[in-house]
Amino acid sequence: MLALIRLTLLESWRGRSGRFLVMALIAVQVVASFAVQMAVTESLELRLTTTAFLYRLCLIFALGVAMIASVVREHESGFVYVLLAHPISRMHYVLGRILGYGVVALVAVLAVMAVMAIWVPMAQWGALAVWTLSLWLELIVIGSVALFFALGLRNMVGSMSMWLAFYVFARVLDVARTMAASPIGQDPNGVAAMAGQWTFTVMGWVIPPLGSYTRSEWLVGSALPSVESCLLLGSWALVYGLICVVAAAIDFYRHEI
Amino acid sequence: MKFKSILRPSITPSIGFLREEARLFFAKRKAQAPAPKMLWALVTVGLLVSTGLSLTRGSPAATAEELGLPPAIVKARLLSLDEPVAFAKLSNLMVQAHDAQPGLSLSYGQLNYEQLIAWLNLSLVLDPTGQYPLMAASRLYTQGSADKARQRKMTDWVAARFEEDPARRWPWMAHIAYVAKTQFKDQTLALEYAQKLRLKTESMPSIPAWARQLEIFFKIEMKDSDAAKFLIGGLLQSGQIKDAHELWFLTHTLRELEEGKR
Repeated sequence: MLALIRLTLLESWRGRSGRFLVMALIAVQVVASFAVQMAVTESLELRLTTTAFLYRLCLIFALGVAMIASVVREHESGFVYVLLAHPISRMHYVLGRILGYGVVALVAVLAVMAVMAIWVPMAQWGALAVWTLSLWLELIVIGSVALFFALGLRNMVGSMSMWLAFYVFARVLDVARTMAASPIGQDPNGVAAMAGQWTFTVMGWVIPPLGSYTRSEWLVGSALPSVESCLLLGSWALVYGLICVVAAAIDFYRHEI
Repeated sequence: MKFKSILRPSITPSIGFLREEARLFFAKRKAQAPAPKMLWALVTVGLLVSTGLSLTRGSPAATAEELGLPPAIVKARLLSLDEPVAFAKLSNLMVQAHDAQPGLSLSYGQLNYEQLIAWLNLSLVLDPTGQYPLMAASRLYTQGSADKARQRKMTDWVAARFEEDPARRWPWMAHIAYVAKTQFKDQTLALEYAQKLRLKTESMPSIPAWARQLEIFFKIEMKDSDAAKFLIGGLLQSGQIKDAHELWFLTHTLRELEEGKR
């Protein structure tokens, strides 16, 4: 499994991910600086929220797409057969992939944290650490979901579409549940409204509310979530990542090689 | 000479490497099959047609575009993937830049203040601790290029928002009281704003005394010394003033009012 983790890291390094990360770090700061130049007040808050928002999106999409692309490419090129010809189980393959991805994600979030620490006031560094940890957990969830779709569908377009739809839905889940709970122009006790509410409630049980993770306002002095909420969200992310990894392994075992 | 000889070993390989890369670049392209001439002709014709179409279309004329109404709060949260504060901050910039459109610079008198207020409202709802909308409303949109009706709309909006969070929004209330006094030359309105400021902040020692007592100083300036004496006396009696300097200042001011020196 260590070899697989190392393989994932090498693949990431040779795929020029390091250079893309540096470019993304710089590009986001350039965009934020441009926005800050236009601001007449609250320039630090604007910079922090804009960079936090953009870094989050960049890392999510870059790492998710990288996971899907590498797994699908391995299947299409037949390299996965070479790997499985070695004495490693399919579970080891899946675990090696996700753990390697976890290390890559950790390096990326630490790089982002180092850049953000230049602008975040020292009094807010605790909040920055919480934000960084939250981002890493979000990346773990997203990476495991990407692995699940990539191994299950083994198709680039299909996997990316499903993964993207999952991510957008998970981000706006809380908003969707709020809308369903207070329907406008509908009888709240009507069949359609109740069906909508139950649908979103059940989805809320299954999908973690990624909208509650990595919020940019934590960096500008807004209150951090309570310790209980942090523990709940943290354990939810790890459990959900585990569920997706195990589901990916189960699906992988089903496939004929 | 020594300096050049130190540099030469590091420069020469770099130049050699670059030269080799360039040679490889052109050699690769030379080795490939040349594209059919038809393709080159097609590209050239396409570019000429594109240029012709652009000339036929002419240059775009600058027209003022309306800001439009903002999205609903829920829609804003959906659009921003549930990052309302980031959306609020970016929308502040967008609203602020609205008067500078491509090829045009609109004066504040040409802007639709109802739409502006709707956007500023949305920003405050999404980011309640943000100061940008109130700063823009009290300082930017009350400038002279807007007519009195528009300026008054903005100050009334700031006054309404101040009541929701006086501890944080008092500077803007003080500013619009100042604007009403000096710019609108409307002493009644200035007193009304100053009174609102006093009523909401008089039990908040964290708010500077000059802001909490702005109404008193306005009344003194208006030579309404009876009202000023009443307010100062009330403040001193209430025991809310703890600061020794502030106590001395108010006592001294009250004495001067009683002696007719103000």
